[in-house]
Amino acid sequence: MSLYPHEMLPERTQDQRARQDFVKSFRAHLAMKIRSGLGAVYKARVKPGFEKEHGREPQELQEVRREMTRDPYYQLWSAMQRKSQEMMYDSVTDSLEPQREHLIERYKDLGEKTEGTLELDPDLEIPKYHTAADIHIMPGGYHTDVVDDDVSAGVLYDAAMDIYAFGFMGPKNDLLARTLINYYQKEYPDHTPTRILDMGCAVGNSTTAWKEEYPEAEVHGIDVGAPVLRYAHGRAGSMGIPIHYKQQNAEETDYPDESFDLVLSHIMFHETSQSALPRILGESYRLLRPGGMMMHLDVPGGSDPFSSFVMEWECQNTNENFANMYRATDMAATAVKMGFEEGKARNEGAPAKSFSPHFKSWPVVVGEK
Amino acid sequence: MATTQTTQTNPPKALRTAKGKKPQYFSDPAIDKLLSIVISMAGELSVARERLDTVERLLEEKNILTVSEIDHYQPSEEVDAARAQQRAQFIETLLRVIEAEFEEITRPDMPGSREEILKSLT
Repeated sequence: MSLYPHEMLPERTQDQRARQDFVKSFRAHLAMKIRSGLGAVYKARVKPGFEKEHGREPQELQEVRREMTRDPYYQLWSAMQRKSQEMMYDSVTDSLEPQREHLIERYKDLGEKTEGTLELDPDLEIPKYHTAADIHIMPGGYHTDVVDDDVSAGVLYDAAMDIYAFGFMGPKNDLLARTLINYYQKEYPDHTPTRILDMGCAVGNSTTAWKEEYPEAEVHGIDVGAPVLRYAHGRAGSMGIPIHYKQQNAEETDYPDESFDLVLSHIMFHETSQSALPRILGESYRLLRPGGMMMHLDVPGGSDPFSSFVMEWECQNTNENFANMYRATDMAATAVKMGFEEGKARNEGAPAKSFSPHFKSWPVVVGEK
Repeated sequence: MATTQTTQTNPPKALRTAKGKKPQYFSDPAIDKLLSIVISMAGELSVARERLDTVERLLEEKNILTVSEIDHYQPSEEVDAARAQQRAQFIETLLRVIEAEFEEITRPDMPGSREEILKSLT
């Protein structure tokens, strides 16, 4: 399976395609074959070794981490996993770099033809949680313009996501939106949203899915990164899906109070910070109309020290640095602190389609106003 | 005739390195690098194989030759010899690092240490 052929994706030569496909296959092998051996390694030698030394099982994530990171099987898997992610961005950059100017022109052309809009704010301050380290080890992160009007970050994010998840995200990279939509329709069958905001939308891979599902609704997407938004605008234009993109920080947007009846995000919070997280929940509340709801879907954690260790890999190795702190946060309780009525915010789970035994649902914090 | 001088500026290079702290996975950082190089090589081998596959398919599509002809190709003695030569060269290049160690041990004029070399420079 390959990506839906919208016009913002770079063309690939024979070798560029083969290089990307290699990384895709390599990552699939690492995830399905080698990663699944970690449990056996833990049971067979890491845990018994710890028990022999301490006279008890490991009880903390930190203990499992200390033992596992010394194990040669884990070291090899982890080093290869990191390498595969570096190769992933490199292989996309190979096809992107010679076509960059062309893709910038294309985003402009597509933007003129669409009913969707794009509003950038060159004065917006990029939060430290983006500038301190490149999230996902994607060179330049979501926010860096290598040239004027750059779309590189968008190309990297969109094309790499398909390699990252070896096609698991679907041709439109919209698995997470589909997961949340399924959850929403099952739990709230009589809701029909009319104005939707997708926070931290990046290339709009989830945003367009919501518009496809609710064509009558007005759908907005915000992000702090200009290059991903330009790309998102071109991508949505190419797909014929009108979206209103705006460069905004979800902690404090310029939309008036009660602007939306659905405020969403898809795996955004784990890439923010201790101070941003409650502020975004507070902003969600402010933006909701009475009767409206927020649904923020994010990455799961483990259920015991070992699975927590497996799930925290991206936090420790590829700059998803805030993920563990996010996981330690009671989102619903924080939402109540930030304005939601007691009992109107809940920690829920949307069933996950997944290849990992540690991963059964996506946490969703739901809040009603 | 007036000449206009143009200075060609290259477009800025794409970013290839992520900001952040890269973890070290093995006790010796050289192993991290070696593994990385080996996987890159495996990737390039895969790329080369796919390119060859494309060539074979195009040749077959254009009725120039069939994949079966390639599979049943019988090299002449001459081709055999040339290929043996190429393979030997390839293996030698690949395992050069081991040969270097052998030379270090057996070559009579090989200095025993760096100190020895430095001494000869005084």
